[in-house]
Amino acid sequence: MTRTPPDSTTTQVKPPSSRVLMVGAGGIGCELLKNLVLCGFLNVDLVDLDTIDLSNLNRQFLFQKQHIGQPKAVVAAKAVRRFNSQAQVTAHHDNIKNPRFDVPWFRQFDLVLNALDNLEARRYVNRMCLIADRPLVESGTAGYLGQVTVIQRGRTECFDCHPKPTPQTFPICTIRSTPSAPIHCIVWAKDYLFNQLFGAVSQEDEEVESIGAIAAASTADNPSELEALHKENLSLKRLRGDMQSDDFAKRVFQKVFGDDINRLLTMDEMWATRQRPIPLNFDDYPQVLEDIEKCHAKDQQVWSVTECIVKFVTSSRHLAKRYQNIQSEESTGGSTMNRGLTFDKDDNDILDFVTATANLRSLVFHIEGKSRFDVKAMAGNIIPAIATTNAIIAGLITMQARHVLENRWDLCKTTYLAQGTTRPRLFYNETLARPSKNCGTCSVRYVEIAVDVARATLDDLLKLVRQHADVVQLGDDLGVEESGRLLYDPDFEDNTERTFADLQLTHGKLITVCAEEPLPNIWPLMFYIVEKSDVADPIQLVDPKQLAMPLYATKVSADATPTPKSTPATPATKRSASEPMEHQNVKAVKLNYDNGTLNQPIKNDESKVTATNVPSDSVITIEDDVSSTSQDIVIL
Amino acid sequence: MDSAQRYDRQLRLWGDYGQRCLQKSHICVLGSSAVATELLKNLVLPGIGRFTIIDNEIVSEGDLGTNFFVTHSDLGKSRAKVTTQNLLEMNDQVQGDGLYQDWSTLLNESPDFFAKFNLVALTQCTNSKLTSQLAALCWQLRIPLVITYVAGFLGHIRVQVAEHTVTETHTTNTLDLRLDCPFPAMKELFSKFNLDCEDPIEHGNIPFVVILYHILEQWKRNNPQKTILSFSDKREIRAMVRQARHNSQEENFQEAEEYVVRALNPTVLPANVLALFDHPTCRSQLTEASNTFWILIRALADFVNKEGQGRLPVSGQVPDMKTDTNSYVSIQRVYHEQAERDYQCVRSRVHDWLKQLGRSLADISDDEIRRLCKHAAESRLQRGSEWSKELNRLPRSTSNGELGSNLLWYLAYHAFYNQIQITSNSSALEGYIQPWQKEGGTHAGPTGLICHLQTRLDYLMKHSKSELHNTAAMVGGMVAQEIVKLVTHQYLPLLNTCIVNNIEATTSSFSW
Repeated sequence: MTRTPPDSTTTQVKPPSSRVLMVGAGGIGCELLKNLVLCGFLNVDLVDLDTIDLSNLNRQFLFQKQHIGQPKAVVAAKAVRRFNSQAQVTAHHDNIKNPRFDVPWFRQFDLVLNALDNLEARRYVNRMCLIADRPLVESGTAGYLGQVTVIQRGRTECFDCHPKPTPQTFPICTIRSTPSAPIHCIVWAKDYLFNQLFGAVSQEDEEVESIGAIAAASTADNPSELEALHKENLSLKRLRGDMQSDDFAKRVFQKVFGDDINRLLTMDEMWATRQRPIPLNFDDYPQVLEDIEKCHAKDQQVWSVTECIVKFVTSSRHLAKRYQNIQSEESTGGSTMNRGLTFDKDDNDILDFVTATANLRSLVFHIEGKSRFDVKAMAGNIIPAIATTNAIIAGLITMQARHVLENRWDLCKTTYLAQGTTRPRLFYNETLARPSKNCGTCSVRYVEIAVDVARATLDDLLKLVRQHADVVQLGDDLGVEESGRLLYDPDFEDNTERTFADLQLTHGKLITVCAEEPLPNIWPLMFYIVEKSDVADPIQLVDPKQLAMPLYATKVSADATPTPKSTPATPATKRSASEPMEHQNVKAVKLNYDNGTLNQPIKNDESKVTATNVPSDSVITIEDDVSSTSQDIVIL
Repeated sequence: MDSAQRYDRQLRLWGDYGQRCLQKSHICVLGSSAVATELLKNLVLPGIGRFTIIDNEIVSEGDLGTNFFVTHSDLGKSRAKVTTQNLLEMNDQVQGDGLYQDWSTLLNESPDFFAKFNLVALTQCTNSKLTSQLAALCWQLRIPLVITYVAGFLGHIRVQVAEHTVTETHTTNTLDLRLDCPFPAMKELFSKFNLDCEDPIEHGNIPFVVILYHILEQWKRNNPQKTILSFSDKREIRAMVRQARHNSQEENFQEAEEYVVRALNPTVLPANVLALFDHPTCRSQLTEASNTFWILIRALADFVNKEGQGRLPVSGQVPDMKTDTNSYVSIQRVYHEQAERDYQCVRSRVHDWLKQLGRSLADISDDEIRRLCKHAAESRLQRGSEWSKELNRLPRSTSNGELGSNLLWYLAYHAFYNQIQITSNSSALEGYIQPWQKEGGTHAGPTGLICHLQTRLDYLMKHSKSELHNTAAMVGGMVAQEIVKLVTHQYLPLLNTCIVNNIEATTSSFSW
């Protein structure tokens, strides 16, 4: 069966012959895949590592209840194939970071479309597209807000040109000893208590403070307290051994809400300016055991103490059972790794456990309680997501994809969707910005090398660079590193005779070679390893031209000042060549990329919307938030 | 639990109340081409209660290329029935009917049929006479109507609502701290703090609301005649805050300075709430059949006139602030308890009215009354305009007289719905756009403007029977979003015309 769009004069013939890679089959992904297939894109590869969850079904329409637990990529591909038998939709149920998706693999595509929900994968795909020199359409949504932009090496900013805000962190002592806000108790319950009791145990964990992101901001101004906390960790871990016992929950309770609090209370200086915590005693709540069967704690109300304890006891039992099941599966499977449970905001037992323990801790520290609904949002870093926003964003992505494939860079732009506010306008546009000169991700020379890792040594690489010194222009003193690990500099030559394999420089890894003293306007080299065993030389350049500074880079560095964003784009279409041009220079609400997810829009207040460099002949009326009812004609 | 889990990600936007509104809604969609099914997809997924599709088309080859909710095996069948069935597969909590019927017959013969819907959406209708007739009926029945039409890369959305009430706008910058009119418990608590205390820890932990309260009291003593703070008054107060701090490191004083402008706004009745109180339904026309919204508003007005002493109930929301846990909890408690007292008063007034109107107390839940008290300042009434009015006049001009691309598209749609035919001599169009001639800017001169309009009108005509899936999907997303806002009475919906230009990724709204 053929499904050709009804009007072939408006849907160009370019898409069918193009190969497109889509990363992500979630909210945006489902919409986008449907749009692509119905707009005549016949060759699509789809990568997603996730499986389908009930909470996806309010927007990810390619999935239905019977698909829960199945791979998203596979189910989505199957669902749209039904609609176009000509479409070659290839599903990969895998992490895009798997080394098998290497640069040559990326290069088979004409275009990459991101439909991701986390910062890490976005940054990874961005870099792969830069190395493979493939255009990327990047996108994201959060509630009513969304954005779409296009990235191409040398032409536009890359994803890393602007640093993204890092997730909020808390000092370790705030979490472990002196919480003062609900979030502190939630982080404690989720990252510390839950992990210590039910998380995976690795050998290193025994030594390292394993409370995730919060450790990053640990202020070690109180070493003796940290030492005491470390001891607490170990004794908590020992409780894992009692998981089978009937009073496991009670013993955990007595330890974390009793003994540990009593220990804290001995430190008078800690409470000089703070209200002293009040420890809890399990036996003070005898009614708990009776209530276990009949407790129906509500999702959107803060639980009572009894409800918290009941939920704590029941969820601990369930989790202990699940943890033990995993252990016994592993011992029969002969695995030596000690896997455990991982936090999942949509897992009812885990969420009950975190809500109950966080609220009990809040009680101890005189902090207000939070409902399970709120705890879920705070612990899970939940981004609201709805079908409508995804539909609009996917529509914009599809248009940008067409523009890129038709080489209509004059039509490509960054579009922001600002919806659901007092302002009836939906889109705000920005011209694509030029690459940032100082970006560590796109202001480098990516050089692919075919390497026999068993034979090639670091010295071979250095020799190769020196052979081409006139093109490379990095001077005589070189520094070599791999993801922050120093491999070589003039004072550190220990590794030169070691092989790539020995140095764990394997397929897909990136080796940076730079001048020991940074040179202005000369970019470092970043070698991308493609493992090959049947090569004559241990290291071979895939394309020697990659060693030279690219033309666009010299052009960028020639401009002393960055190109102003208001540079008018060329007229949109021939049809409208005689019309006055509209300039898309309204700065709008940008989304933050926080904690790996695109979320938490900046508040959409009036001060955020300003017109910059508006040429005098364009018509831009900025509406006033307050008087949105009487807006004039607005032309964006 | 199942549906809480399914809808979790959207409940965080419109809450349980919004979800209930959605689940209670029955909407009617006229047409079942791509834009219709895409908009319905975005309503079925979040769990609209019920939908009815009316369409007398059968599934054709053309549908297969654009409409996701028909398949090859559906060729020749009723498109309304087929798409209904396929849409329902996405969510078993939604009900739907597909009527294989010409809706214009219903419109002419039994217009009452439409009275049962919460909203009507008209899609891809090229008959402007029927469009106007339907618009007039919906206006008369007070049923919101959304008209949408996509052609090629262009989309047109028109929302016609006579009166639309909003309970939560979700604007986040409202603060209700009552610093200018403290209630007794607040006064008592706040006066326990001493701004002059020497202890650095104590001083650094005075909450910013308390700092502002004391400074404001002090300022009022110095300026007894002033009741409303001007901008320079606020500057003066900010300087006083700065003087009261021990050093520039005190975060609580930094907060106080930052909050001077927002937190010292006078506690007055917002104009949007006053307008509701002045509405005839609220003033004198409450009946047994009145919408519960108006009963709530009337109870609120009574509260404001009596216990509230001219002010809305305290919302009870307290922002985060730099202080110790104890102080924060006690400040929260004081606002919370006042909010609770105010709520109890409003609640008993709501119950008085329900009794007086002979209705059941269960008609308005306590949750609803709480929501009203919490968001009272956000309640508002929006008035839309009638379709026929728009067709009878062109929109106001822009300030400098230039015609942008989307304005030309708007004029083309306008002409399209007025059934202005392009003829070889273009005389009809010439007369039509005559008012624009002198403002045409670079398009000035009849030939220039006519030429541009004609190109666009041709484009709309040419694509009148063919939708591009991508445009339909995007416009379907936007229309569904407006419908969600309308039926949940949250956020501010579009109450005019919006042109979606998918080539340039722009949207423009037009009023007249």
